[in-house]
Amino acid sequence: MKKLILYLILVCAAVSFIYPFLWMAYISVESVGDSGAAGFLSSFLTLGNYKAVFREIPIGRALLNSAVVALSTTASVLFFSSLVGYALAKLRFSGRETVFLIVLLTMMIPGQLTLIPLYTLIVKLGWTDSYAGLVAPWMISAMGILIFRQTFISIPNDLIEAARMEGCGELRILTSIFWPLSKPAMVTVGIITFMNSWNEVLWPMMVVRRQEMMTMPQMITTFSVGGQSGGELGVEMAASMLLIIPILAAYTFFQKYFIEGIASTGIKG
Amino acid sequence: MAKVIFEKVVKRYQSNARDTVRELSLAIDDGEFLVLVGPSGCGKSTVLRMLAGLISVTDGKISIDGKDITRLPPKDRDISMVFQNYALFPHLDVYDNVAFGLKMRGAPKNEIDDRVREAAALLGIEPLLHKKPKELSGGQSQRVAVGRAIVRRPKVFLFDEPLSNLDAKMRTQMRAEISRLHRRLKATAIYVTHDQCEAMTMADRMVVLHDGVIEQCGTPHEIYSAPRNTFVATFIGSPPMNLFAAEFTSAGGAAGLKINNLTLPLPPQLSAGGAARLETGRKYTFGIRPEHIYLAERIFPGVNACAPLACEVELAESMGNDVVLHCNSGGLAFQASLKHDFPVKSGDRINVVFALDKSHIFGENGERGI
Ligand SMILES: Nc1ncnc2c1ncn2[C@@H]1O[C@H](COP(=O)(O)OP(=O)(O)OP(=O)(O)O)[C@@H](O)[C@H]1O
Ligand SMILES: [Mg+2]
Repeated sequence: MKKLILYLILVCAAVSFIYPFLWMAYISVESVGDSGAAGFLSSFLTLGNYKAVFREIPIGRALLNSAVVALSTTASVLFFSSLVGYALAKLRFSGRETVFLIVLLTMMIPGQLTLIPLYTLIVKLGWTDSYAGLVAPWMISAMGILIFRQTFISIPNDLIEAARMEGCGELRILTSIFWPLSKPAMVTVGIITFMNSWNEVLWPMMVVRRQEMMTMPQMITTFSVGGQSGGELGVEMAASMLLIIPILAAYTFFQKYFIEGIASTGIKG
Repeated sequence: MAKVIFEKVVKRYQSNARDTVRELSLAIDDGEFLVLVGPSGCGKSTVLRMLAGLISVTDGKISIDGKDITRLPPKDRDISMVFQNYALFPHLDVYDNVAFGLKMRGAPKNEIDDRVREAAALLGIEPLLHKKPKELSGGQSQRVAVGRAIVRRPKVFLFDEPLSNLDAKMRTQMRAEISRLHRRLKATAIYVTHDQCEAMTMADRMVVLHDGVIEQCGTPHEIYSAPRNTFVATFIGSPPMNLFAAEFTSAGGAAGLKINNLTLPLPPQLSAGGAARLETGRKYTFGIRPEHIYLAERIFPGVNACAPLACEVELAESMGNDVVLHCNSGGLAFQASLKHDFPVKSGDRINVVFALDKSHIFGENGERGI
């Protein structure tokens, strides 16, 4: 009986989370003209809205931009954060704890605070309207460093020493021993970074003006807000669906590791 | 060819007041199996890890074949090491673990394969090649770790207490196997253990380390039969050597050693013209191993025994083939180790004799007197 109530509550919660998403999915395939009128199942299903999106905005290019930016950001965060995490967890040098403290401190500074100086910097470097401008500020992440450090600390030192005896340098130890042994952490940091980068609107809005360099969320926002969609909800929702699909795919694929990663860092941290 | 030389090597940890290794000098011959023994914390691992390059050397010089390697990173030293808890890479199967070093050095694929299979055959781990480390027993893991060490054919092998995580039976078996392997590969090997039984059976030469200083270096037989000081005397041998405070006396014309109220005649190795080296009234330490104490009625012919000593057996510990007796003779406590074919119980009174020709005399400073 108790269980039943618990499940009921859980189902309610799940529904309230998933409802907007389902609604969005539904609107995106609803035939043009009817949208928003009378809830579900009032008319034919159609891919017309998706066609409209592709027709009216250069969504293909935006998709490519987003993919380039999100993938390179993710790769770079994985590489550099694990590099720092390794040093903080396993190498001995003076000032190690101080460096770690500074990394933690940067996590407590709200992102909005650094936005203006960052922007000025990018303008000075002449990196506006370029991939460099979109990627460079996010190439390493404090959260990534933290997760990697916590994961790496639990890997026995003997393995490092064995690897050194077998002829590895520090970089090789990281790539051929630590990376494979921390798959959950890699996936967790990877997905979180990819998601953040993929969904980011504010930063691209600041550094990108030319339409060819716009990312998906930026393009869709300008498109909806800027009136190019003609105020049609169905088309806007179709564009949003296109935005979500890659993330859903990635999450489904890596789900197992992701949950493991969150759980283990939670306990060990 | 690989001759390893330590020259006045010092290791100092900032957090420790005293140097962990103090001016250690040692030469290890090509193909030699050298065992480092000593109590826990004496610096055995530190010495080994300095040679491996895993920790820095504070002062002094280490060379292999005349080449100074003191500051080289581990990968350029051509040394391999077997760790106490195996340190196999958990994400790689046995084959890849063994092949790891060769791959890192960029050896061609077919050569790697040949060498891995050869090593696997040598160690009998062929059926395990595609298992992951977590599917292996302790003994199997240790074999794989040894395989990983030998496959590169390094100049020097290092072992840091490789058998201490195994059960007694496995330990004996692996001990013999490593010895056999060494005879076959003829490479220089340095083996750290705190188990004197391993040290005695495996070593060509052994080094007894204590507080970062070499107490004695020699063949197992030399160290057993002629310990250089009281530390080595009690550290090697089980149960440990009995030590008694003794005084040299020449009262009544006969030179002898006075222990408590007991006077022993001078051991033969001292009385043969050596008596002059002991001084009347000076303090000495007389040492006799438990296995060199016999029952008076069962003395072997040819043993140079002292007069029988009546004592009480306070405790008899049976070890299977041996029995260790904790004896007390008028306040003089000692242990004797006898063959088990003579029934002795706790509380019995027996007569024992010391085999004087097997006894040891140490000076006041604990150093061997003669
Ligand atoms: N990183 C370190 N920092 C400070 N002191 C250390 C460090 N490593 C070892 N020591 C000290 O050096 C001494 C020797 O250590 P070592 O590990 O060489 O001993 P060991 O002979 O191998 O002992 P065991 O038989 O227990 O393995 C110990 O007293 C230890 O406390
Ligand atoms: Mg040790």
